[in-house]
Amino acid sequence: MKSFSGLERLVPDYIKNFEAYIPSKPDDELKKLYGCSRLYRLNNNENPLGPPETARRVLEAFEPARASLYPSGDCYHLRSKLADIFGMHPDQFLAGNGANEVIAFVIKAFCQQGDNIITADKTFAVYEWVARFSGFEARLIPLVNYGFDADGMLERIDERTRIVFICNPNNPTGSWWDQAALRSFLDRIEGRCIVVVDEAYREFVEDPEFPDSMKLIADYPNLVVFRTFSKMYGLAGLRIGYLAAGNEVVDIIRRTCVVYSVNTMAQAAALTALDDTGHVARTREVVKTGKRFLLKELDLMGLPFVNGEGNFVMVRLPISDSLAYRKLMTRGVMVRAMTGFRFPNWIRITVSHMEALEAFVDAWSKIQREGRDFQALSKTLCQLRSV
Amino acid sequence: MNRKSANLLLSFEADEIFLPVVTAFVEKAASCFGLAEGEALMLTLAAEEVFMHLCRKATRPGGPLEIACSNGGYFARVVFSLPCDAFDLKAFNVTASISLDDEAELESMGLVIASRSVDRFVLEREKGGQLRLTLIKEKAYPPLPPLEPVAASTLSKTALRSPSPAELKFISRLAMSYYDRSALSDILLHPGKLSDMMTAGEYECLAAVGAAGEIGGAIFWRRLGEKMVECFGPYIFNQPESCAMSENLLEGCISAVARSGAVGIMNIGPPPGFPADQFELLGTFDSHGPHGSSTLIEAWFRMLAEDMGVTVWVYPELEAFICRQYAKLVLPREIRVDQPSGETVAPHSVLCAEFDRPRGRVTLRPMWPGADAADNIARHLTLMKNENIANIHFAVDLGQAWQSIFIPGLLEAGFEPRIVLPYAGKGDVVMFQYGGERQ
Repeated sequence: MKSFSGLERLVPDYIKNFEAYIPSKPDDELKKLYGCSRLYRLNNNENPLGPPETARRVLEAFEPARASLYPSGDCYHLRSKLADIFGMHPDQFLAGNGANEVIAFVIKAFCQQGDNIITADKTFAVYEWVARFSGFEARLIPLVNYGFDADGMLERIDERTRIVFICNPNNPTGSWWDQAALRSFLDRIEGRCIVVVDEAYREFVEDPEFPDSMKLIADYPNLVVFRTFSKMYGLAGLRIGYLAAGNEVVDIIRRTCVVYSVNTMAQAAALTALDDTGHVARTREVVKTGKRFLLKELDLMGLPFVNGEGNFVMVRLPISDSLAYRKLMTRGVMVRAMTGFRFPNWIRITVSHMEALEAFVDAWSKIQREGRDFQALSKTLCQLRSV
Repeated sequence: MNRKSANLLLSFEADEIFLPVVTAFVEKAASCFGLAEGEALMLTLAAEEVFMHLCRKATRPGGPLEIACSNGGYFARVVFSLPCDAFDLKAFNVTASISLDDEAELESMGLVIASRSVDRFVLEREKGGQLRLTLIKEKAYPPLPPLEPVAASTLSKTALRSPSPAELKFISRLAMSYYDRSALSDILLHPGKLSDMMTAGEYECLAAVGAAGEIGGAIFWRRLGEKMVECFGPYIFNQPESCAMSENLLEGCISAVARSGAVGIMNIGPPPGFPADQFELLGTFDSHGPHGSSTLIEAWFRMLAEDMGVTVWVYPELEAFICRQYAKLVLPREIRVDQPSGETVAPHSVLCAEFDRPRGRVTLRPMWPGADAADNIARHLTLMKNENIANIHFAVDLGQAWQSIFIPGLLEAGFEPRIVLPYAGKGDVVMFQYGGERQ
């Protein structure tokens, strides 16, 4: 193929310096690659129960002919439903192709050359990525005790700070700010910039002290709340998430919003998923049972962990997380290696159904045993060599 | 425009008539990039010889040619890009010599001069038959004067941050005070160059710094190719083992590159106290000293991202070794056993030699395949032995099938495969070490 000699000249520096994120291969390819016959996915915090029953019925009844028609361009019915649920106006909501897309909407809406965003160093990576590949500085504030550092973030805000991203509960540590902490932070911000609170795991939290962010929007016009249907509502494969904020802010963000990006099936499933009141309770029970089992087993295996809110647990390993990932993969267990989250030697395990968690415990026990055998063998060989 | 980081481009037809333009362009660019007069002239001389050779031998008369000059901070770089059919690059071997009686060889005299005038050269074949020939000339740095050792105080609390240029020089002195020079990375022995390398972004550093600016330790790293990071250290200066400074520095380094797009990080010959539990042992090299002493150098590695699996091209005699390595590292690979099957290749191969004279080490790398691959290896071996270089390594990129032409010659000459460095080239790189004549 002919090379494009003028390409370099066309590419902005911030793109040249940005490396593309390469997602995992599909399961069938991974199974081939690692030689395993089945794969337990404990890497993406997916809901093992899948979508709520109400959404399942909609998906099963979906008429193929509808695939030829454009969806509602702005998720009209879904926004109306969200407005009913939260006591807000439909125009206060914007839906996107997963919450990742709404991150891009917000950054595009408020940032221009020379601006910066602020978030934590060890949190969901997409805020940082979108800022960087859009040419904006991402100021990363170290976590304190695995939680977002309000003082640290406030110190770094300057006149070019446009957005602060807070992941609440934080992925991957599960730490969270309560209502008082969030209010205090918003008060100290004094409307100088947009504050995004990403609540992707909000529905897993039962603690009454967890902030009611939707209500806070009335008091804080610079507050933007993200929610997703990918985690609790089991619709990750359909890619649908949304944001909520005050009318003025949404009116600005809407200008950068790509319409028609949420497909018909996703809209229909999300709409009905909200009706299934039992689904949240059932999922919480699965997570509670799974965590009880997993934390006990981690204790028995002598593995330190960080357990906060959300359907995941972060575990410190005595070996490189990337090696652990590969070893677990050969045994059909897929976890999230945490180096990419700047937690080297940690893995994140999705609290899934018991069979998957038992598979992890069994696989890790074998890896640990092999490691000990290998160390003993190496020691013997060294002793023999010195004799 | 940032003059120091400028990338200057000359695009024209390959014709000897443009020689004055080429020499003026390279000389002025090198001078602007901070090379002293002597180095700038050496680079200009090399560029002149390469240009003339390309005009006469490599391109169609009036064919397109691009020459780019760029600033690497501690070096200036000239890159020739041209569409190219095969032509003989034999003279770029460090072993090349010219017979004054042989008219054909005399024509290559210019390339021999060029290769000796620069610090590094790289030949790359790109898709579409494009040839890239890169010449690199480094700035000259004054030799390090003898310095009094400096002492570091024990620190109860430190924070990690990038050091200032002045602190960087002090770290170099601390390293030389607390470590045997042979255990230090070469970069720490040339603080001025290190400072320039850091400014140019080639190296990065994190230091563990106390409340009053005291330095307790440091770690360095650099990008090695598209996918690999190489780190050096952590170097700890007079701190108690219980302080976990080593672990913190290493974690800081890994965290700094974790979202950089690199897929792996390696550390070859780390200092004592290296927190090995964060890495995987790839294997060892023998390090032969000048008086027959020998120690083992460990090579450590870890992935920074999920391994996606790659295809590797393996010569049949190497298959068993490669399979053992991949099984040990649990790296999924599609292994394609391949060997030359009589296809036409250029008559002469080219190897580049990277010298590390303080450690008596050289690493040879294939630049160009040729029918004389085995003889070329033998010639290089003889030269290295004559120069009393005790540690001779050879790197073969398993992601580039054409490099397998060198394997029979390597095995025949007495090289042994020692380790596989994942993602250290276009694909994984197998490192050979010369172990002596085959019995």
